[in-house]
Amino acid sequence: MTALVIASYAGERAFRAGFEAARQSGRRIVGLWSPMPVELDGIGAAEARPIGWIAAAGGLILAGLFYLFIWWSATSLYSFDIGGRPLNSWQVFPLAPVEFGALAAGAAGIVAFLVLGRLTRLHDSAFDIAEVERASSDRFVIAVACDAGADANRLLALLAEAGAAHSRVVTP
Amino acid sequence: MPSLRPPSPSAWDPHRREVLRLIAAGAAASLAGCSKPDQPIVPAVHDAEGDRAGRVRRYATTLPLSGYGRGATALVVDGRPIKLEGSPRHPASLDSTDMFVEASILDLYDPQRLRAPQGPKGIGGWEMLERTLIEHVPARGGEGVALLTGRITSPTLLARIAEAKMRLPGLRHVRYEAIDDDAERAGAAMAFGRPLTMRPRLRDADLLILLDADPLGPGPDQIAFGRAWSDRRRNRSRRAPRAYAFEPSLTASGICADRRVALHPALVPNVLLALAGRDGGEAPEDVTRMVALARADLAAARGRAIVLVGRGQPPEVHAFAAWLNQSIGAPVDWIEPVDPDPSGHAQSLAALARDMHDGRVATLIVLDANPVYHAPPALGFAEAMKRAPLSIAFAAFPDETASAATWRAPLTHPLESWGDARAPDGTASLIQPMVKPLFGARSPLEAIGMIDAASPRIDDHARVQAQWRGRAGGDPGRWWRDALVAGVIEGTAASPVSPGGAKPPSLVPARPPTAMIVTLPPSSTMWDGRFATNAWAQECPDPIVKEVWASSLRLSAADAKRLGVEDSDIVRFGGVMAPVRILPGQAEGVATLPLGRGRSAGGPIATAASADGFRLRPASGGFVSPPLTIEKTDWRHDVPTAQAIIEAEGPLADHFPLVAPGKGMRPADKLSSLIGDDITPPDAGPDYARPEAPQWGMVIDTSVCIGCNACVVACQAENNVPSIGADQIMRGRDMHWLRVDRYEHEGGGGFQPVPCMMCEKAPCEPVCPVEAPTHTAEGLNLQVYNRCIGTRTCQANCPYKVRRFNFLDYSGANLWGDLDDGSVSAQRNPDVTVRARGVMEKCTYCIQRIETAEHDADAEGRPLPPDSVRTACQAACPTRAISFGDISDPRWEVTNLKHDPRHYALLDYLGTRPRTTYLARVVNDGETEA
Amino acid sequence: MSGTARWLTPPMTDHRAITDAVAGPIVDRRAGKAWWIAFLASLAVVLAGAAAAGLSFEYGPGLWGNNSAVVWGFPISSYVWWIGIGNAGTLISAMLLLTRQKWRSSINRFAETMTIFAVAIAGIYPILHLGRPMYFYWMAPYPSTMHIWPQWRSALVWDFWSILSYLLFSILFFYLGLIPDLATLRDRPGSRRWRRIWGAAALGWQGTPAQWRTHTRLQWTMAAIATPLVCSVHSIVGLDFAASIMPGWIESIFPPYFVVGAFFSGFAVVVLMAMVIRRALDLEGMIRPSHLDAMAKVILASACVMGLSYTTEWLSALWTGEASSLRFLRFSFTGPYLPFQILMLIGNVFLPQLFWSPKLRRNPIALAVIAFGILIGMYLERVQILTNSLSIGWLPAMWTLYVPTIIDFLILAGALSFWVLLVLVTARVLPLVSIYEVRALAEEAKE
Repeated sequence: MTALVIASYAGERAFRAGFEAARQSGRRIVGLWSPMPVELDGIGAAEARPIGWIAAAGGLILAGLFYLFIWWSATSLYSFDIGGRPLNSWQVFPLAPVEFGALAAGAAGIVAFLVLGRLTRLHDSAFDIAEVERASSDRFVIAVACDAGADANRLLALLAEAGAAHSRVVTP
Repeated sequence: MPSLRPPSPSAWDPHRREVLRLIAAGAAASLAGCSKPDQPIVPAVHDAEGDRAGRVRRYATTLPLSGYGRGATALVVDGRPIKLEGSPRHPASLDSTDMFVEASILDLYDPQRLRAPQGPKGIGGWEMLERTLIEHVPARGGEGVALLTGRITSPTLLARIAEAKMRLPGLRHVRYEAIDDDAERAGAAMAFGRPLTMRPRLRDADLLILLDADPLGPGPDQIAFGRAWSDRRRNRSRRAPRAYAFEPSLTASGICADRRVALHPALVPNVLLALAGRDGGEAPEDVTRMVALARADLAAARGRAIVLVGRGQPPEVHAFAAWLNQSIGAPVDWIEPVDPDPSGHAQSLAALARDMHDGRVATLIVLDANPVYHAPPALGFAEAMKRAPLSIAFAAFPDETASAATWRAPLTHPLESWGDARAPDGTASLIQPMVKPLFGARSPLEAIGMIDAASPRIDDHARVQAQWRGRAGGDPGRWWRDALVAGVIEGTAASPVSPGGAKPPSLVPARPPTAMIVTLPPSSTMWDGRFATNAWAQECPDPIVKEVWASSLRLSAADAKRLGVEDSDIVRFGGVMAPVRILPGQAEGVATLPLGRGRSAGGPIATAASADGFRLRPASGGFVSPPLTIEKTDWRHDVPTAQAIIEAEGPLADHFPLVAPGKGMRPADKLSSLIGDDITPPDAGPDYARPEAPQWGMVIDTSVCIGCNACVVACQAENNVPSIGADQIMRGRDMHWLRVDRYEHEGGGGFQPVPCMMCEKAPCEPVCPVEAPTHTAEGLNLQVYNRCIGTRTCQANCPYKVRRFNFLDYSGANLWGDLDDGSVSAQRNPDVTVRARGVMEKCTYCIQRIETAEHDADAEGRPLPPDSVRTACQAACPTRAISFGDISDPRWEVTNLKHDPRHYALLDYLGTRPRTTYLARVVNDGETEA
Repeated sequence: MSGTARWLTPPMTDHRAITDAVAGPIVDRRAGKAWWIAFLASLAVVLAGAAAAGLSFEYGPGLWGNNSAVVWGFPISSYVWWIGIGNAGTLISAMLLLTRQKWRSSINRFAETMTIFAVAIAGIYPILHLGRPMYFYWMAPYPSTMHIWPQWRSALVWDFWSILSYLLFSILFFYLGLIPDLATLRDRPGSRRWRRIWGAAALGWQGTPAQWRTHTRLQWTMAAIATPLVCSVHSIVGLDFAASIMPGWIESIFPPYFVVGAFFSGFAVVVLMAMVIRRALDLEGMIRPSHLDAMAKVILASACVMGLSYTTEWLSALWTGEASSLRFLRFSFTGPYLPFQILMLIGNVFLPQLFWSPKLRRNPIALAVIAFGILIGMYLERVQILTNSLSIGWLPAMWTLYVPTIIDFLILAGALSFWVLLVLVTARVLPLVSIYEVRALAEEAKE
């Protein structure tokens, strides 16, 4: 039967140390929470990578469609003689699409962020852990799975000496 | 009285406006069907379409100004006269109008008009007034009854008065006109022993010497003189004409003259003597130089030169001028006075006033005259009226006299009654009513009928017919119909008489007076004050200083310096106060205040605050104040001006080029710039010369524009352009679609009417976000009102600033204070949208007229004949300065003008390719080269 | 002791302290007397302005100083001015992010806040300014019964899109940065109702490494988009004028020159706000003299650029010798608007030169005063861009001066107070300093 060791640290350095210790001990790290951006080698890189591309694609596509619409409405939908200017005044048509494209890119990025960051889960099991509450203000929290009993205490000691401000074992 | 002022934003109280709107709506409903007169009226043009709803029918009629008739054509839609145009066969109209004719249509619907007879006990019906008259007049055969009228040239009315006099031998008829011709008549009497009227033949004059005279200025002759003058200017077959102007203050004629110099009116005799080769006494140095030039030209142009003297000059000057003209064989005619009354205006009024003071007048009946306002203050006419037990004023408006009289009775508008009148050249024409009296008014003939109650009851129609029966040949009915169609009665023009040899009066050179005087010319927009009730006239810019709704005192820079005053400083003079305007070209020692403003009664429009020149008039009449002192006060007041005058020097001069006779425009100057000196104006725009659609364009000949404003008001009447009031003008707003810019070069400036330029590459169009301004296949730059959201970007980007914005609900606003303005909406042109608040508007080349013409052409399956479309401004122009039409069709006049060597486009280097273009003004001063 | 230290002082090095300092006043909701006074005062002015605007809607632009020649007035100059201010916030926080300016963390949040409000207010003006405001939506493309579409050649349509895009984009950018702090508020003890609201807004943020990475990545991406977007927005505003043929407007320098002006005035507002906030929310520990110094340097630099662009404009007019440009130049320096021209130059160019002195750069009062001067100078510039050109167009017959009315001023004051009001309210419900970024700063400071 497995148990969960939860340790919270006061600072980034201690947090990293705890993380290293947990990893070298070869146990499975269930969760990591920090009140500020902390990059722990590869973790989360996969999710972050596509963001930029998605934003770019969203922007370009919508800008393109918008330009086509302008061209269509100005030349065929309802074409006016406006001060003797050519119907297809392509020199000025891109202005609005560029602006709108930027907005579209931003919006696409946000959507990607919500999906990839697994957000909008207001009721996640993680919130049942008391320590996670403080992870949003001043605690760096790590949760590691292990076997209940002696193994758990060993891990507890390990994380504690890495500088945990507080740590405990949760057994079902 | 706050309600007697043009609206200011403070007066925009929603509640009040709502109430007025409701009242107006009611009134409009009651007015919706203006009913036709009882007797048959005959359209000038036979119209197969008949009375189809919304169809414009044209009727020839006549509008009097100071008693003289000017032919006009009334445009009537569904029984509503909505516009006045010229009458082709009338010598004082020549198919065009002046500003006064154009404005008169508004008078018909004016809310200020009297609506019912009003006696000492308040509103009383016509019967009560008739009874009062019967009590007072017939007793003692009309003894002690005085009838005061303006100038009457109407044969029927004169006959009617004569008839009344037969029954009422005691009845005394006094004729007084504020803008009189006493001096001319007296002068003629001096020269020839009898009063004659001079008719200059400007069409034949190579040389015109104007001494304090303004033949092109306002008045019953403006159209005829303007046309003759412009015809002479256009006539290339003879040597280029030249005009000299010696005048105290800048006038239209002075601006149009080739050589002009400011001259104190008192020194006119000196110039006249010098011209005649006699001792002219002393005169300013620049005047002497000008006189020398004029003499030389005079010697060269014997038999083809005319010397004109202004109405403000004393009789002996007129007499001497008459002699001089005769001795140089000037092309002038002399005719028997058209106004048969031999008495002088000033004396007869003075005599009447004296008798009234002495209580010798028991009943005073004023018919279509306003002596209380016009009479020189020395006569104390208002007090004199109080002495008369009964005074009755027949007037269209509650003017000063009507307010002072015990009884006031509404008088008809010329479009409401039958009658006739003579033109200044004697030609008689018929007055044809278009509608029944809107406000239950009675005509002058009916008024006389009430005085002469014993006479048989004959209606006006019958009287006028009877008056002319003698001329009718075989078939009177047919003759009558023809006369109504023609608008004039053939062969009634006065034939020139030989005046006999004139004897030169003893004219002595004058010395320049030391005290200031004020010259009092009639106003170009108010005339003698009778148009002060007219909102369009009030808002029509003065041609010289562009003032609206008020007048300032015009001073020379030197005098202003001496008095220590600047523009807008209020000065006191002869009991009158007015703000100063420093006017270049004003003679030193002379101030000028146009007559006709500062009315104290007549309605909220008429009483717009301003200075009243008649207060300065000496008892002897005339148009010059007695010597007076001008004192500076501590107050300042800006007189609302519609636009700026342009002192054109440097690059600005290019906007209004001057060319010598026979010369054309210089080749366009290259634009120099950072990237080189060879930037030709960009063009290569779309080519609108499409065969299937006509291409509209306009050419305006600045060389013959006399700045008379007929076009401005014509446009206002045709296109439902609202007047917006002095306060809005003060805020720099103005709704006229057509403005007349005035340029001042040291070489003499001129007038430049500026409608929309209809640019082929219009800057206003691409900047609009909602496509409100767009271009048609016919090359019109149109504003789609219901598409406009009022960003005003178009006007911001218009180099000519010809677009007009409804900053407030101008069309809905009531300029007439608390009066019910419902009637005014009846004048509106049904073919033109009334614009809402927040919408941009502008000149459309009168597209409604273009469309009508095209529809008619389509209906008859024929192409548009050449010159078959006339814009309102073009139709109005007395000098035919404006020509309009299809510039892709060489058969139209305008197309040829586009190739005139004097042709130029305003701001052409902007590459806007305007459709409205100009012909440069020709100045024959021997210096201008181009 | 690394360089970051000077951006923070103890106790602001402890996470708990930081959180309490920023979130404290918000969560345990107590509004000081000063706050209430400011709130009610601005509310009063807002109401007056609203009344003036209401009258304008009822009777039309005729209540303003506009005339037949100067058809544009305060609404447009205010619009340009507000947009300018609105540009700065995002530009600042984006550029500082891209250039890794550590001190950014304490000012970027309220810079973005004020941006959004400024742009929102700016967005109202073009509508208010219309003759028929009820039809403003005709600028948007939609299948209308009139079967017509916007006129894409019009700079006003470009405006419409740039303002719309920029406003929404700024809101997204602002919100993105806010999410972690909302989580902080969510997890602090305090009123249940507010914690629910914040919790919902925090979108279930946990602060896992994956979330932090995507978050940071997106912030960088959006910052990279925002920077050119901001420049383009105000360039387009500049095109409203440059894409015309009026003397004084038809200037190729306008777009860049407008962008500089925008950044300039916006930065002035940020400075002003910083001065207020550090006193009001006693954040002296986070907004340090070194911040003031840095911002003062930025102002000094942009003031010089402003001066440069002015002289460029004048010189090109003199150089070409083109009549209308010369007339325009003569008018601006001899015409009746001269006093305003001088005030503008003082505020925008000369006053900021005081920042050559390091002492003044670190003096909050000096910063506040000069920032204020800049705002006035910039507004005068915006007004004169309209009046100087339109008062002396091509045809002298229509030369008219512009005189604003009381209504104009009421609307102007109302808008300013409305902005203050919004900031005041926001200060009560959202952290005006980015807490998590300050934490990061603090961590670095420990190294």
